[in-house]
Amino acid sequence: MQYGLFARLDHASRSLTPSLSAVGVVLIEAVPWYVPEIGRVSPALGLMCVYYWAIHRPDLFPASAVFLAGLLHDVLAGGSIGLWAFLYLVAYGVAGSQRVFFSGKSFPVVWWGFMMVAAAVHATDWLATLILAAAPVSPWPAIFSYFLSVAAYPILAALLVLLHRTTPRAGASR
Amino acid sequence: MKQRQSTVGRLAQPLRTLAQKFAFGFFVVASIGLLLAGRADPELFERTRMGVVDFAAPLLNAVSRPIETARDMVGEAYSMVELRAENARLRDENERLLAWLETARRLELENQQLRALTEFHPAGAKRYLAGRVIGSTGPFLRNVIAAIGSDDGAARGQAAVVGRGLVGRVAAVGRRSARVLLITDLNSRIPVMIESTRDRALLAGDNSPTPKLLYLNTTNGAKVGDRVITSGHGDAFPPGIPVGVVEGISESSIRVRPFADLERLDYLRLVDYGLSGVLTEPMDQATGP
Repeated sequence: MQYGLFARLDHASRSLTPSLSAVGVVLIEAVPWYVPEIGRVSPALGLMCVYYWAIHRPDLFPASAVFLAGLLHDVLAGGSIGLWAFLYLVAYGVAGSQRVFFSGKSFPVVWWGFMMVAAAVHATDWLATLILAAAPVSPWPAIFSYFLSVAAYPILAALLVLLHRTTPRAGASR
Repeated sequence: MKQRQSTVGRLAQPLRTLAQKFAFGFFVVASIGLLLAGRADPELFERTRMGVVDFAAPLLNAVSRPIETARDMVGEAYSMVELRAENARLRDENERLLAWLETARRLELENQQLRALTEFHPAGAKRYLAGRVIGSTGPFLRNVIAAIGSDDGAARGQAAVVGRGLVGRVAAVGRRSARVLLITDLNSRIPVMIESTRDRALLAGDNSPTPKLLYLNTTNGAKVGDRVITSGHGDAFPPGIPVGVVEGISESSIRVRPFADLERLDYLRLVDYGLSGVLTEPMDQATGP
């Protein structure tokens, strides 16, 4: 009986790994990073996390977790509530639907997929900011953030792979 | 028993996928709904937002310290390269500032004497509250979260400054955290004036590094190099806080380069002048043309 309970708790907490990692990464993304000569840098860490788990373990990463991570991002960033929730969900949907394509493919292919998704998300972010502010907004911050995110993806993906190994096998007993 | 299980098993799988697809669609619609609701009624989410930020503030504070340490180490390594030149520059600056120190002391004495002479009673004392910057996200957003809240005396509308000059204004406070709208943000509007001519204007941010001067009421116009300071109009801000210097004048706009380095904010101070100002609603949502 004891053993059964422990195993179940262990299974449950490991199953939470993708969702918790998404929330944790959004928190880390909120902390300001400065690089000498460039100033503040803000890679879209949360987006990378959502993309990764959408492709590799969507069964442990439900839409509700994506929505909450996006809401947290909006709240911390001070922007319109719902914008990044929407963008994360779009990325989740697109990446999830292409899961069959990505399974078994090498890392560069997955990275290229991220480049496409991140481009669409950043472009939409810029458009939405433009529309909601009803004023001209320069696209350069988004472009800069995009290149930074694409460059940073392999690093975060490597960390997420380590986390991925701790998650229970798909279809394991409940 | 086995038959019942397999029937349930057969039904559960398609239902689950359907439920998942439905959940996805529901959340997409919910996020768009929140977006529209937020534009229609900005006040609706402010309190919830500050509640969540408040809750996350200790976490952000904890996470930001190791990152700050790492960043400082990188900065140290970097500055090692420039050590000699930096040293010389600092020595020069020190000498200039020491000369100013003498002038400042003399002026202060003179000021005191004149005040005594005219029995001048200045406005209430200024109180400074220092806070660490623990959050700032996104490529387009120009506000930061500071680890100082109403428990420490922060209030909405207070000016946020660093040594060099104005940084922004407090948009919302929670118990342990405050959100500061930077002067470069799209929604920021600060009443300012040109120091030398006392001409009033409005400093409007547009998400670029150099905010614009609007409604400058003078026929002569501004010159490049003019210092811009807060004017204190509307009683919302203490007057005389350095803001920036006029950098460029074109047909469409007059651009001001802020004194404060907004890209490298670690700490800021909130100025509590005891003024309530004219703020009655969140001022970070553009409500009009």
